Amino acid sequence: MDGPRLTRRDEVNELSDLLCRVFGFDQHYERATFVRELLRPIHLRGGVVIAEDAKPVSHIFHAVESVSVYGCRFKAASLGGVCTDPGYRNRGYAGRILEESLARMTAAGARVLVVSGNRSLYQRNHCVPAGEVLETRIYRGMLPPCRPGLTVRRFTSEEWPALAPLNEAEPVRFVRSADFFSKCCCWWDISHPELWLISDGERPLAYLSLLTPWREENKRSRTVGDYAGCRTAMLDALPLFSDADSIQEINLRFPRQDRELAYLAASRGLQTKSATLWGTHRMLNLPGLMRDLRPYLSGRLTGRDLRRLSFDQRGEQCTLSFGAERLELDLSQAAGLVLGGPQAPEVEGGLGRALGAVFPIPFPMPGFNYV
Amino acid sequence: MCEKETAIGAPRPPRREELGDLHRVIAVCFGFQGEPQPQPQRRRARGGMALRESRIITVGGKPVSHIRITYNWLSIYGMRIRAASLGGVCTDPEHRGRGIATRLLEHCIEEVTRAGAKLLIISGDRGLYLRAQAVPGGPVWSAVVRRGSSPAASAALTARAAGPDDALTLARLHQREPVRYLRSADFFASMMRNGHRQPWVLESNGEVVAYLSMSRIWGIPRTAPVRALGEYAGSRAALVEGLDAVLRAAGLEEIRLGFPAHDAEMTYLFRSRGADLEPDTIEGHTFRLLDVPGLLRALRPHCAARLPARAVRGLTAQPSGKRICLRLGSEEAALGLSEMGALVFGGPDAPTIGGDLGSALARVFPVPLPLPGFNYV
Repeated sequence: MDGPRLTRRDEVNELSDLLCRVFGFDQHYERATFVRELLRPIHLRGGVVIAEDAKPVSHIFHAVESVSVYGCRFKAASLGGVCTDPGYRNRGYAGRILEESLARMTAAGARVLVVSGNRSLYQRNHCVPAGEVLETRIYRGMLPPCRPGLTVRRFTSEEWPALAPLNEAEPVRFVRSADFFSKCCCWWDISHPELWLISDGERPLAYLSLLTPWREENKRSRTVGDYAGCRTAMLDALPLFSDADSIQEINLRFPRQDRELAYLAASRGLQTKSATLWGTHRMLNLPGLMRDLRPYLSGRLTGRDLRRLSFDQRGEQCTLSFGAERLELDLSQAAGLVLGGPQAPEVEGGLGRALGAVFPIPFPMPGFNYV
Repeated sequence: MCEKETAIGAPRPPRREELGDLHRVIAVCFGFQGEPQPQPQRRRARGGMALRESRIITVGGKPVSHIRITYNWLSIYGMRIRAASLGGVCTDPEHRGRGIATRLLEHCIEEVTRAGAKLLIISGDRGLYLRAQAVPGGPVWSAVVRRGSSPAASAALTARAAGPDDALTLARLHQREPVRYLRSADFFASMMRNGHRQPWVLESNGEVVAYLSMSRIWGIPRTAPVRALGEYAGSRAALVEGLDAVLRAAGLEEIRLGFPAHDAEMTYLFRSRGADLEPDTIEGHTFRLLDVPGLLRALRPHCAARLPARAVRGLTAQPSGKRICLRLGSEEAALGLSEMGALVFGGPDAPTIGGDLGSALARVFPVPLPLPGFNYV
């Protein structure tokens, strides 16, 4: 056994074989393109493997990227592409690679981990469903016709520099540069999302990506994956997508912190239900996250309360204090509390009041940062 | 008159024993005489603030000219930029025309630059500031909304005056704004406790979804049922739908809006209602650059979101004599501070620059600015 260690450049062909065997990537990508994209620096920096007979047989990919929440920046890791060759399973390889990946992303300064999956391997490692989302299904004909003057058209990732300012203006987002699509993890387009630009004449107002179902039979439904810009224009334009592609149903999922979209959905009579973000989340460094979020905290707590509140973490145990009050949480509970989710504990007293004022923190949907 | 009585002092903070004379000068210049006196606690707070934040020039030992300085952090798409604000600029009418205000303003500009501020926000737009190379800026759309001119909001949306218990709710709504002054929860708590600002909140099904503040308009009597939009935060759709409810609740006939042009949601909502939007700049304010290379460094993430990595690395701004030299690759343009300010802040006299340098600058500038609102000086 060789590893866990980073993928070597000369192993990328074999790694591509492994990913295609397990995930069927070759049904979605041209092979040469897939191999070329696996050579991007982000994939080489974050691909951890165990090799047998000089071939990768188990793999996990992670990326560490910046998230901006109400102006506070912190690093979040994303993890995916978890696979083991069927001939090498049940040897604990995935667990060992996950442990190595967690150490690497923590050392790189990541505070929170987003995992694109929910299986027991992740749950054993304190990855839990978290992040508050609202969900509504919009069927063809439910919304009034689009306002005259509003136009929609498909765009390609090459046009991103013109649209990046829309993402930049989002209060909660993954930080993306103008050349984001030439550097990001290449799996964002695994299900060939449709990228739509909504404009008023020449003025770009909003964009959104519509994901086609990967394995579902209903090819006439779409799910909104990533969006930015004017919410009203986005809802106004939805009927145009239905007309353009004979789409029958759009599943609109959006973070609960998007109060504009929540208000608009309610005022148009769209029923929403609560859900969590896709996949699971894990707390990596609670005290570090709280340091990075200090301006956010000071915007929500009086100076006196802020001075009394502190966060500590020893291994997988977190301690939250408020004056003399203490709360001990494991990492699953901490993720549920901080990001919002079913694992969040009930907290009473002054500590409960202070924590209730700051948690859950808003968190963006992965969208184009999907791993 | 003896020499001692006409001697012009150097710019400095006021002394406690000068506060009475200083407040008299301010009251005369701004027409505050006869207005109700604030509570003793507020008067003491004002006195302490004046000792820290005011700069004066004396003639014959008495304050005759005044400027107030405050420092703030702006949060612009997550970038933190140190800004200074100047306000309360006034000179005793008997001592005008002697260059005293110009001297005090120059002193304040030097002081805030030394303190690390990157840009200066001046509450005023007169020649004094323009001569100091401040420019109008902060593109806004202006419009007038009269009571009864828009369809009534749904019954679920109601307007009421905010109270002290709303302080944290206002703080949370404001915190979500992508372009804003950085404010603590204590800022809102103190503001609502003092009661000298009166925000209005909009509630939808019992939840506060937005707030706005309104201010009196200089030159229009305080009793006239007309106000200007001060600041706002929260759901734009609720604000646009609820404006009429606010006007009714506040007993007003008209509100004059000037909302930032970078607010795409608000712009779209008003346009789709057929509103007549006029391009303008932030009312009654001018803006001056203090440290252009420092500002460009602070704006690096903004540049990275809008320019290819090579252009981000290549774009530089360096002072060259009285001009700012902008460079990208082999292209360069030298601009005066006012021209550069108009470019950065989106003023009406922004220069047109060609080539790759010009298109890079057009992608990065103007930098969006928040309305002064509760940070009005």
